[in-house]
Amino acid sequence: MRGKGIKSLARNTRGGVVLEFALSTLLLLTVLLSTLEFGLEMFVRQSSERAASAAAMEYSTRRSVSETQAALRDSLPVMMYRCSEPLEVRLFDTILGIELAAQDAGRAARDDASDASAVMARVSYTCRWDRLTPLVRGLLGPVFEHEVVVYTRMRD
Amino acid sequence: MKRMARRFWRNTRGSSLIEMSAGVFVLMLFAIGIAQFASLSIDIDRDGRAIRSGLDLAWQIDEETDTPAPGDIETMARALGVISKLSQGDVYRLHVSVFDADTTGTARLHWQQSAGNRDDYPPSLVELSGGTIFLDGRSFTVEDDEKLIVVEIMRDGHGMTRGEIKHRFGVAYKADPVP
Repeated sequence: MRGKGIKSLARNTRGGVVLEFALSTLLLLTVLLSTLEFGLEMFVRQSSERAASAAAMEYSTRRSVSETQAALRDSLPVMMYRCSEPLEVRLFDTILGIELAAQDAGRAARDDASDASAVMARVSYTCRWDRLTPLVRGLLGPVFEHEVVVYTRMRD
Repeated sequence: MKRMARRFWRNTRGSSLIEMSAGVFVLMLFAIGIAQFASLSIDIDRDGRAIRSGLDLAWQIDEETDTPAPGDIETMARALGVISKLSQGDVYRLHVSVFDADTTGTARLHWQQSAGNRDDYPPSLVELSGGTIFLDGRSFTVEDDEKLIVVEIMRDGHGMTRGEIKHRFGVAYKADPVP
């Protein structure tokens, strides 16, 4: 009885189209969402690059992290407000003999008179973007982090 | 034999499988193409940012010394390579050249250094001939109250440009008041 039931189910072709439609829709949706996710990441990446360069230029003339932060916010697309981390600015009074690549090289900007002696700044902008598609989250991790570092000399 | 071939030609069983594999192949090609394009775009962004940062760093090095040591440019190359993710672990070389002019306005090499994590890359492509500086089909002149800073980055290409050495550069003029 059981063997016969399974055999007839296997031979039954009714509903095959619906099943095929459901499977291909699932596949197509996954491809579509992954493409959207990829496009968004590229957009976030490009916007971060532009924003960090603009922020570095802004800081080199204003010498104020808070003002640069405000200018950065104005230049970013609204959808990136949530992913943006505070700007990190490190200052250098000289660059000869200093390991610039070290994370803790130089000193942190303090937005006071002590920043005036700096001749060079390293401006770091980071965006931590939560991925949306389950497949991409599973494959590449739940968060896409893009850090942009720019060196700029201080302009008077 | 002929009959067998005819029967095979008329047989449509498995055709959707063939269709699907051909479709998947085309989609894969699209996906690879998009990824290659994205990778190229990311490289261009990174190199552009590294060159802009490099010009400012070279400007400052020139401000602090007239004779930079190789170690100074190595530090700079590491900063651009590691922090700016210039090449994400790939090999690259940085060339920095600074030109000034004598009292007659003829350009001359003030200093030149290179550094990076690969030594067998070509030397700097900047040429100085008859008081004019040539680079990549462009020519530059220097007045006696200024300096010309040239930063070049050479590195291995990725993806479809794998095996090629990518050469990108930027130039900046720096005021150099005549005493």
